[in-house]
Amino acid sequence: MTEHVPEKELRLPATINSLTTLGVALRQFLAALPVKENWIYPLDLALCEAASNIIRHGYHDDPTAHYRVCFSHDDRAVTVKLYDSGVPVPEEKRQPPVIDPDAPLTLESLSEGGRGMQLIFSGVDRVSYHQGKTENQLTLLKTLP
Amino acid sequence: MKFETEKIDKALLFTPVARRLDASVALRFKEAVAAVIQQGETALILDFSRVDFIDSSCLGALISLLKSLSGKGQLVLCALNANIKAMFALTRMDRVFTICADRSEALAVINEGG
Repeated sequence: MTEHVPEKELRLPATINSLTTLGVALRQFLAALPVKENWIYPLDLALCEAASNIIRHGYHDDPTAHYRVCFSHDDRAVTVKLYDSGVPVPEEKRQPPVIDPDAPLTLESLSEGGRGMQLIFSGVDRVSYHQGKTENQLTLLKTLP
Repeated sequence: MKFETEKIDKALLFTPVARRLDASVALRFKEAVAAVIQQGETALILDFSRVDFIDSSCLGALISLLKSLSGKGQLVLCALNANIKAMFALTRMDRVFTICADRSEALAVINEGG
């Protein structure tokens, strides 16, 4: 099988409490696949960060809004698609952030936030974003081991 | 979200009892630890032995807590699983936080801290 067939779809309220439900659902979906925790964790984290961004920045924690998540896989990869109708991700944030590994680290200069995109891009093999007229689609693809 | 606390000598061991520390609980986690700091605890060990997963909001909470000590106390993390450790390394937070293998090592670090 090489075609991505939707195998599980969720519709979740745009509240931060939905993240736990989402993580549980991902792990249930992956349970049938031959993947270990060190493969699952980065995908779980990327999905959690992506959904957090939709909830916080896309919908501004509007509990009446919803987002959809679709899990699928073929023999090569797992694909997770997130759909929302909130504020689109700004274009400048759709690329992997540039991190200087040698930049000085001081506690005073450390931000409490801003690491989500780094964790999304580093946790999966491909990230794509499509801003439609009525819906945004973020796709996370992680190659199976 | 539940927490367990235990005082050993001058150290307060704080153990979140939750498999996932994501954005849905990060604020409660931060407020709970901040409360013990405000009560005067300045030698804190956060034991992650019951935690399987943390996200960037939890990482942010930890940074906030470390800043709140303003260099006048110790915050030591212990019992992070391999995946959480990898996340700390990726974000370079392993260079910011004192991370120990377990409680014993963390207690030793606190005691060496004077």
